[in-house]
Amino acid sequence: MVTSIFGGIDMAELSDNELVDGLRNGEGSALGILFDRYADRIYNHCFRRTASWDAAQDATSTVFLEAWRGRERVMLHDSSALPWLYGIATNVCRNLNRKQRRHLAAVRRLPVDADSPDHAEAVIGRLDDERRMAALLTAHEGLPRRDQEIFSLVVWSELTYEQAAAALGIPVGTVRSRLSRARRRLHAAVSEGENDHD
Amino acid sequence: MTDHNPTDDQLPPERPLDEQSKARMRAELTEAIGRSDADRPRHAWLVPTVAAAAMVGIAALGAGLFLNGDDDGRDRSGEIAPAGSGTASDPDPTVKAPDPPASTMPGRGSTTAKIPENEMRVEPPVPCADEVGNLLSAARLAGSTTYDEGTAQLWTDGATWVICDDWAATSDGGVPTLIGNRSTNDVWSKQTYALSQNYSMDDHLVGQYVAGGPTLPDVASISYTFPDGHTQDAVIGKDMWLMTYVATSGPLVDQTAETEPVRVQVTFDDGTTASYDLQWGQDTCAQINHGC
Repeated sequence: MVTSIFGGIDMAELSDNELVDGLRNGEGSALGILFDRYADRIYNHCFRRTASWDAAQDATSTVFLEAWRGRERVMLHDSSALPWLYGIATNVCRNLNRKQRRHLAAVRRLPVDADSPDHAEAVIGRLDDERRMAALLTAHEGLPRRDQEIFSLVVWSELTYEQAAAALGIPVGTVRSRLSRARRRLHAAVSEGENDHD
Repeated sequence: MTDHNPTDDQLPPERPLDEQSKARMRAELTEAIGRSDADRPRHAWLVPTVAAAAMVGIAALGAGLFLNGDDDGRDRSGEIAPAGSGTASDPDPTVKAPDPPASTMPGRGSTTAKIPENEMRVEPPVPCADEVGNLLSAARLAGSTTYDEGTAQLWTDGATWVICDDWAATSDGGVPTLIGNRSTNDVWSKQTYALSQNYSMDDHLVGQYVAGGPTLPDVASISYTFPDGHTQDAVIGKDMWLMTYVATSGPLVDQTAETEPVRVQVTFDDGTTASYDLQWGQDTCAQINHGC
């Protein structure tokens, strides 16, 4: 965690409420603290929407840039700016460009047992992550787009129903009912995918 | 939220951003802030542009990014998005972006997709008798109303009633929707008219709204006016009443209308009326199984 002392105040100790006030006032330091506080969460969420660590990095940068651009519309949910950031991330990932989509398609085509002895272990691990995530997204994409977004927010990124509703700007009941069906349908899709590999 | 899901075991573990990447991203943000907001005075997250660029690779000095200072003051607001970000749109989480064309949806039409959307396996529809039996073991069928898109049945064991609607099960398989589970001697309230809302999984541009129950004494008509302007009258039969509305387009499907309440107007035999405003989420999740 990067911290800064500004005017005798440890910025990292500020609440999201205080940071959002600062953001509304055009204080870049507030965005910096929000970045340090939530970048990893947004980064992993973006990975789960793209199956690409590189695309997730670009998307994470874009999310915080968009947060800055849209700072006058910032919203808190239960004193947290995180659902708002997830909402931006959902929109950013929805608008992925063709390059990133081609990457996703290419990752899907990678052989499951690819042997890469010359690669560092970390690189292999990241590649394996991307392959596994691409396989999950293949099943995930059989769901309507809005159900995909709810599923990834609640199940994969572990937002509460209320936080997901705030992120997407929809009623909590809608989150619940769509998630219930999405779970059933994804369960069937994943089972079928496993059977195909058998 | 912590229920086990079929994909939990396959989900790759989370990874933190490495410090070098974070430093690069901070530098990009710092530069963008300076570019986009040069005209207004502020306490910025400031590092001069040249210094920001130099931060790449020296993550341990990242704290320096938060030093106070001023930028160069030039307006370069058109250059906000970082290279490769793929979007410089202005998303507002409260406003839904339009769906991209189907042909550009990720994974659509991919030759490597294992499970085409139109071939996804779904569970067979569960009969109402089976699903109701899980809730009220002694319940018997007391009424039925067929509408264009499905059938709703009234079941009761004498003490409790439930409506079983087969629209979702017929459309997507699985269990039908149960509404009610209320005492046959229940006192009327706004919840008497609460809505169940469903969405088709085969065509997510279709939303269904249902309300119903045992016939209410002395009630001549019940009408629901939705935020999209549509008014739907309930069908009142000898044993049960039922209101169904299937929205196939417009603000209800887009969910842009879900901040306005649904107005219920009840007219009694003596001509008097009562009205209720159903709030989204609070009064629109009347189903008692799968979801809400």
